[in-house]
Amino acid sequence: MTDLWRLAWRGLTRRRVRTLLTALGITVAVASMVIFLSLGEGIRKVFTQQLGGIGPDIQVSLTPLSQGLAMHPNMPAKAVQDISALSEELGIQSVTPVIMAVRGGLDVTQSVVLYGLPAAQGIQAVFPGTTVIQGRALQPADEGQGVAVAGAKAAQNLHLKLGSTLNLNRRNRVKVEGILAPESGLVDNFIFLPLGTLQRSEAAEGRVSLVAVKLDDPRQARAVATALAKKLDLEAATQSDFLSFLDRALKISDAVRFGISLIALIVGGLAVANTVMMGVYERIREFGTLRAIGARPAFVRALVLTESLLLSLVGGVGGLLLGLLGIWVVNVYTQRLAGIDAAALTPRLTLLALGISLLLGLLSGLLPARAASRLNITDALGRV
Amino acid sequence: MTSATSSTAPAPTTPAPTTLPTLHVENLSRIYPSGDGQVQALAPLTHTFPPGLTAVVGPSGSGKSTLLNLLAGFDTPTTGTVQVGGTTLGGLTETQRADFRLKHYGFVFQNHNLVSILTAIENVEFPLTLAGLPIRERTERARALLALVGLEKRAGHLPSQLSGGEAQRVAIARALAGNPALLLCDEPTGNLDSKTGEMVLSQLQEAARQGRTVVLITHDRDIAALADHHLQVRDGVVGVVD
Repeated sequence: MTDLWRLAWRGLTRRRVRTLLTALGITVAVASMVIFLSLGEGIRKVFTQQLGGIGPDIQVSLTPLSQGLAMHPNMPAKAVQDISALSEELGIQSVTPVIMAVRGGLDVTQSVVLYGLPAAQGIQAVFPGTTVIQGRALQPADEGQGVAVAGAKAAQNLHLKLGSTLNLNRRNRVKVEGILAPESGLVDNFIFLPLGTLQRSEAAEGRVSLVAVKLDDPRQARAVATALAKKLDLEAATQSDFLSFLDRALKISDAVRFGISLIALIVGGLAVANTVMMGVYERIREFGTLRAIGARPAFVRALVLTESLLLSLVGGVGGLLLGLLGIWVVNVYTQRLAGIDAAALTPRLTLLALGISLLLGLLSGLLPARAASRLNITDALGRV
Repeated sequence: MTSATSSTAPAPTTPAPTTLPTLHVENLSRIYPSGDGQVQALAPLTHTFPPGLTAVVGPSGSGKSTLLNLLAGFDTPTTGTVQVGGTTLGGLTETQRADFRLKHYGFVFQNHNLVSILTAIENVEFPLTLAGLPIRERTERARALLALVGLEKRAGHLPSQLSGGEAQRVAIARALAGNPALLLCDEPTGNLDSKTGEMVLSQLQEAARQGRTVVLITHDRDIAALADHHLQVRDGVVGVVD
């Protein structure tokens, strides 16, 4: 077995430049696949970490999750009272009305999410992990006032400091009273405002985007969500609904990105097949000699396949390394943009990249290996 | 079916096994299609090759190499059989035939046909690797064989770093590696100068003296004259000279 690998390696290194160029082709193909797919992995990781331990147990809104995240304040605030009325019956600990709005600019680093919630309940009612690093948190007296607490990334991107003024629109502006510690997550891009302040700014008095519900026993989330939806004729989604919705969306996105990178992989595979096939034709006499002196057809087949696998493996490992570099570049960019690592090289992706490389090598080597093992010895030796 | 994992090959200086299989052909012929017609490359031949050096002489295109290809099992005869000991080559599968060649045959080609990416010693080791010999044993044996052909100091050289004569002697060492009973040589001195050719020939004679059946294809009558037995091929018809 060692002899076979050694022989295959020598066969490849005989034409160094050609082998290197082919391996580079695989490297680029695998790297592009790794970078493309790592985006999904990174986003999946961020959301899983973000929603695993924080956030509401149930999110009640007017529109279903499948139509996107609830942003538009289209739900009457009366829903809060309706839900609160069921607190005892359904084991609800707290009910927090939330209004959300997005402030975007052409420069994506200027985009932030405005998140309004009752000042009396505070940010920790929905995001218990947050801490104020500068200034103060929202206080009950802030309700309806022009104050804000900025997430770390939002403050950095919008150059907000304590005391800075943030224009919500022509008529409404708020003063930054606090800045949150970095969370390495989505909350970093939020600016928290008192509910009334944002409702006024959005001209959405009496309406909310969603209602965040915390339960006494979060394990009952599914049952309570079903009950809420039935009793109040509203959409109620649990954390796991959100994650599975996200997972479904990411899977579709994965498939699209994999499809794109598949083109590069097919081109890389054809390059391997071409290189190995050329190697077989160049060495047809040598393979004929091997067969003549006693090598079985299976040995020759294995030798050519090993060359192909080796070439793809080298390209695959190179692709992983180049992919890592690409992921680092992507993350530097997305960190600057949103404070998150959008790309991640997970063990699953590493195995997939290596597996695809080997599969590519195997498929690309099949035809040349078959040709080499079925050669006519007399013709190959060129003696008749 | 013969095994490809025989590891009982004796040292190179040891004479070939006393119970050597006999090479016998029965009504052996080969016809190639040619356009609308056919060409008889080899007329039916029945012959037993005796131990020792047999020269097969004839002009180019006379059918010498066709005969060698049939004897080796590289080609399939139109009629007849090639028998080595009790085994008929035509009755073996490709894999069995490869194993059979590995165990019983050695080959020396006109253009040494060494594997260009392997050093001299690795080339000699190669059949032993196929036979599954442990690395130490095969290295020792290959080294001894290179010493036998006077090339122990060239063991680490690639074929491209060897002269034509040296490469051909490495090829002889490779052919003898598995201690085969049959040695088939196709114009082994064809590309060599007369002095190097003589050196190569003397090594083939030595192999024949050890009891092997050595079949030497040549168009050179001077070289053929040194053989123990002679076959003359002309237009595909083989005649026994002595």
